[in-house]
Amino acid sequence: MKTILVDAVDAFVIETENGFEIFSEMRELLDTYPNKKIILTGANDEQYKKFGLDKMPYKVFTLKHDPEKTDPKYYETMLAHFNLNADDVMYFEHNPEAVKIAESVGIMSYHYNHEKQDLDALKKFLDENL
Amino acid sequence: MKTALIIHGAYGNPNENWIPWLKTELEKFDYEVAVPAFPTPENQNLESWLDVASPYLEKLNDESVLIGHSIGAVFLLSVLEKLNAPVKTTIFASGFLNDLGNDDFDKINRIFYEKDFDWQRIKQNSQNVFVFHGDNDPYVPLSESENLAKNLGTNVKVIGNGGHLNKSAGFDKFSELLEVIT
Repeated sequence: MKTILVDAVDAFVIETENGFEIFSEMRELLDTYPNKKIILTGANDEQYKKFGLDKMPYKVFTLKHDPEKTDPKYYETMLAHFNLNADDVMYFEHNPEAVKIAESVGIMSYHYNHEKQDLDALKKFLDENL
Repeated sequence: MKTALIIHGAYGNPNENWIPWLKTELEKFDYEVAVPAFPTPENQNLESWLDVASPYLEKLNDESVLIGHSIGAVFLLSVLEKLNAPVKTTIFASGFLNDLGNDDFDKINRIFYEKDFDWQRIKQNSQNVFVFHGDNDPYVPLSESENLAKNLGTNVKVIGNGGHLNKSAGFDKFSELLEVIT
């Protein structure tokens, strides 16, 4: 069963008038899948708390901007850390450059439209590819 | 000399999706294949892309093939408008002519399609035209390629479960595309 790699800020975590919070509708969607989920971020220690990443329902992975998610080494390090192969995971991410880089290391990746918060399209992609 | 020019998409590069595979396959058929890297997303605009393409356009002839993916397909419309003599075949994969409702892409892509195309000249400058689209493209509706194909006087070749015809949809090879060239 594939592991779902979840983009953190601007996807699973969104900025509201109360600060950064989990996007509850996305969590409800993801929780309908029994697959393991890992949240991917580049946050440093300060951002980790600011974004509420210390209170996530899934494991969180960060390399603290060294390198960023737009560097293939980020994904190679992450896969090695969790003892996963690229074929074992699928990823959704709002940053198009990060999507392309993840694809370049063999990870099936989907560009999530964070402006539309398009969960219908995300669900379609997960249903068709998990 | 048979030449081929392959155009990648926005945020893309010459090493993505089926491009390296297609280059290798076409070289087996004695094509001289060019796969330039176009500026994206920074400095992605029609002028900068035409500057990059310009030296390769000089090598096009009536045996040449043009292949574009996503915004690369849209870019081929402007290429065909500029030619003084027709190429043999042009292939549009996952193309579109309108905003896709995603500002990350629309703001850098818009300049490629928000223009009045000379469809007559475009059609005259390619002896054969093929339009491919996945039936479940998560980014570009099938209706976009249907509209593009209508303007080009052809029909869409719909690829079942083809997604955006990219690596994430399993397209590190694209045999249907090679078949219409060779």
